[in-house]
Amino acid sequence: MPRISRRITNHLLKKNQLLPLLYRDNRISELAESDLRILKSHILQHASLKNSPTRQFKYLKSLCERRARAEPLEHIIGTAQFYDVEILSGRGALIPRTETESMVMRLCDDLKNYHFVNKKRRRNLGNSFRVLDLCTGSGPIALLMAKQLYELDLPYGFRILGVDVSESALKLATRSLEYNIKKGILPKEARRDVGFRQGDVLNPEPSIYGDGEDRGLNHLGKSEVHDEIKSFFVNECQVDYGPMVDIVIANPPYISANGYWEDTERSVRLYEPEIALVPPEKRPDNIADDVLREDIFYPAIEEFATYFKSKAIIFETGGDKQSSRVKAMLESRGWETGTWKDYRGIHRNVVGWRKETGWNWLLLPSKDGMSYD
Amino acid sequence: MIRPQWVCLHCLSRARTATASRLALARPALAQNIIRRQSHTSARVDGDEDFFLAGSLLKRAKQLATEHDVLEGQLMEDFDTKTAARAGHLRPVSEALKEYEAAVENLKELRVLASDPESDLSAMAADDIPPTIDQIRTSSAALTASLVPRHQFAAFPCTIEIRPGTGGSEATLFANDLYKMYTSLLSNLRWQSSVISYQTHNEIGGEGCSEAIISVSTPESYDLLRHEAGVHRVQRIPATENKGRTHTSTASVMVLPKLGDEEGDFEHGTDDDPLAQIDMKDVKTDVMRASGAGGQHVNRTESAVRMTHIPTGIVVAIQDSRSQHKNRSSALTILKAKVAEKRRKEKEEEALSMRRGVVKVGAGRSDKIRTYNFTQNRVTDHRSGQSNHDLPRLMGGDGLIEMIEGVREWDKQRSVEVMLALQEMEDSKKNNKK
Ligand SMILES: C[S@@+](CC[C@H](N)C(=O)[O-])C[C@H]1O[C@@H](n2cnc3c(N)ncnc32)[C@H](O)[C@@H]1O
Repeated sequence: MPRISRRITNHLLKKNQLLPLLYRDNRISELAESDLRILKSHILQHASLKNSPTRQFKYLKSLCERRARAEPLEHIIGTAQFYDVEILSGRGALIPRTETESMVMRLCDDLKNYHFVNKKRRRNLGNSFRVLDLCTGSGPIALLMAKQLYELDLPYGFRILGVDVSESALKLATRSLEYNIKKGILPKEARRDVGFRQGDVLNPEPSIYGDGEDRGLNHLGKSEVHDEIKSFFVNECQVDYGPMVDIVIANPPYISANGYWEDTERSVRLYEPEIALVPPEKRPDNIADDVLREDIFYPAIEEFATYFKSKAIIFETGGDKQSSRVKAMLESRGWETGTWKDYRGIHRNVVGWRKETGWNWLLLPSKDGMSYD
Repeated sequence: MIRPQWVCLHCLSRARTATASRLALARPALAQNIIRRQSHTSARVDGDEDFFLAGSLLKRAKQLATEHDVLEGQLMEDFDTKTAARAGHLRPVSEALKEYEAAVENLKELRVLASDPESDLSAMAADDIPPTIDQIRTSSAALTASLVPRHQFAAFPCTIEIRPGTGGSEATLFANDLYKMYTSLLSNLRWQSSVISYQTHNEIGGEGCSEAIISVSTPESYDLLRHEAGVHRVQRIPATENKGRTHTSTASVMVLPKLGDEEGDFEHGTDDDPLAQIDMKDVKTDVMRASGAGGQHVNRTESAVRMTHIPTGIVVAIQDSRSQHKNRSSALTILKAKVAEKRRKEKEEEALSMRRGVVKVGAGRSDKIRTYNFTQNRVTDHRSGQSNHDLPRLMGGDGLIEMIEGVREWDKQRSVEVMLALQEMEDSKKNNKK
């Protein structure tokens, strides 16, 4: 790591003696200052330290030292602020990113302003609105969508299921759900409406029921994950009306092996699980050879969307090139598609919908002016 | 068109008594040294009896009451939360108007009766006239109050940002004085606050402050403190001045509503306000960040956001939340409101100058809001015209609240006049068309 020049150190010291520590990983003085501000207000919330400025300062300094070793602020504080929900953070899962936050908010705002504007669509044929969040990690997408959907007060409610292969990530997801309920951010019903299950999206384990379709067991049988998903969404009194899921949404690992070493921050490599960022080298049998390694999750997730007759699919990607590859893949499988730009103008999301759903509102700019394409 | 927000009388009176009791709590002895300049904006009066409501105000009230009735009718047919909210806001106007009209009607009858010497009732009627006039006074005051728009972010907590302006080290010393003044004020009011940033350095003559940011978490604090935003001017002899000359320097105070992490309820959003419509192509968003691929590649907390509306040059910087998207949407909301405020001000000034028959109201007026003259031991607010003659006490936080209340009162009266002026402007435009 390059040394910090005397001049910069002096400049920082003049403002606050702890800033040089925070500058080490941030490399931008405004970012260091912003970290300091956040850590300070974090410390001010500690009731036990109140009235003891010396202890407050000591503790603040110890946190700055951790940050100097590139530990992410969210790990130090313990939570990430993901729009209006809080997500517990730790080494077991990826820290949710602001690009993901924007994707969820745009989707929810568009649902509110364009989709659920009429009574019929709010009724959703008498079914709960169902969202499947694959590669959910610590659950940010699932929990923020839940928070937003509660505000819409849908007549038949909603269900959101998050699936991830990592046990430690799922633990954080489940604890985050409880944390938000405890803080009153989510209602108690969230325990019923939001679920997290373990499952491998790339290599679904064969179902114990075998492929039951020809034995009249078409409600079960493709794989264990599929069974889990079905049993979460289907309630007994409902007849199979077709679509089992309304939206599949995913922010899967999308970084290439090279990109991992070349483009990621040191703090990412040191403190976040590689499994959350880089798809595995060993590709599943059903993924074609010409699919790049960093892309393999997208077709696998598309298969879930098709299997459950999802109306739409929303992906986050690593940027312009990956977005155009994923878009082409979806089109080849019969989806109507589009892309969304992030606040920096990068094509960050690929959206797909089935023509018959008429969900082309997915391409409208968001009403509040918070979309950038 | 101006889109005021209607506050129900109940809230308004509650807010007033809340301030009054805060005052009583924080300030046992009211500052006696406030000299009130006669307010230069008073509602115009039609007819020679001053207890009647100004004609244009009455007209406005009638319009709104009619709108209320129409909305109520619609609600009987089909319930809709938005309509219900608007109707709810208008109800106090409609009720106050009914009361007022009843009292006026009453007075008319009483006068007829009283003027008839033949009638047995004439003496009784004459006795009833003064209390009826009182009733008209009360109800017309209530009606006026119900017409005054409430600020759209009135319900929110806020942040105060203080920075030195022109005047070099004198300005940083003054910025520090202001910082101390506001922290004393906040502790007098027992409002919850925390210091987010306080950058000081030694200067000849004391401690200078290059930036101070105070976050006030008390709800509704924005409604009071927003009146403090603007350029504050100081006149005093600096310690370094050896010829005894008075120097003038400034510090700027910015007060922003904190839309924060918990979603508050806007009195009404900027969504439907035609003046708040801006083209996103004109908005530049800056986020403090390192370059690179973004997304999963970076995990730094880059939450602070700065937004610029290029055509007007209005800049809003927000770092309230750790969520960047939240900060961006707060920044956009405030940016829209500020653009709308600027456009509204221009429109209001046009209407006011038409009304007052002057070329331009506020032309050339800077946004200097207050002068602290140390040499003369006097603080003058340029908006309300109020002066306080005990500067050290005021800067210790004592007497400041009265000064702000004075501005608030001035602001309210001005709002009434603006409303009338806008109404008259619209009317005259209509007449011209005919
Ligand atoms: C980029 S992270 C996204 C986490 C979270 N949804 C977010 O947006 O912040 C990708 C997630 O995919 C999970 N994952 C990796 N391989 C998987 C697999 N084969 N099946 C299911 N999930 C997997 C990782 O554990 C990680 O939590």
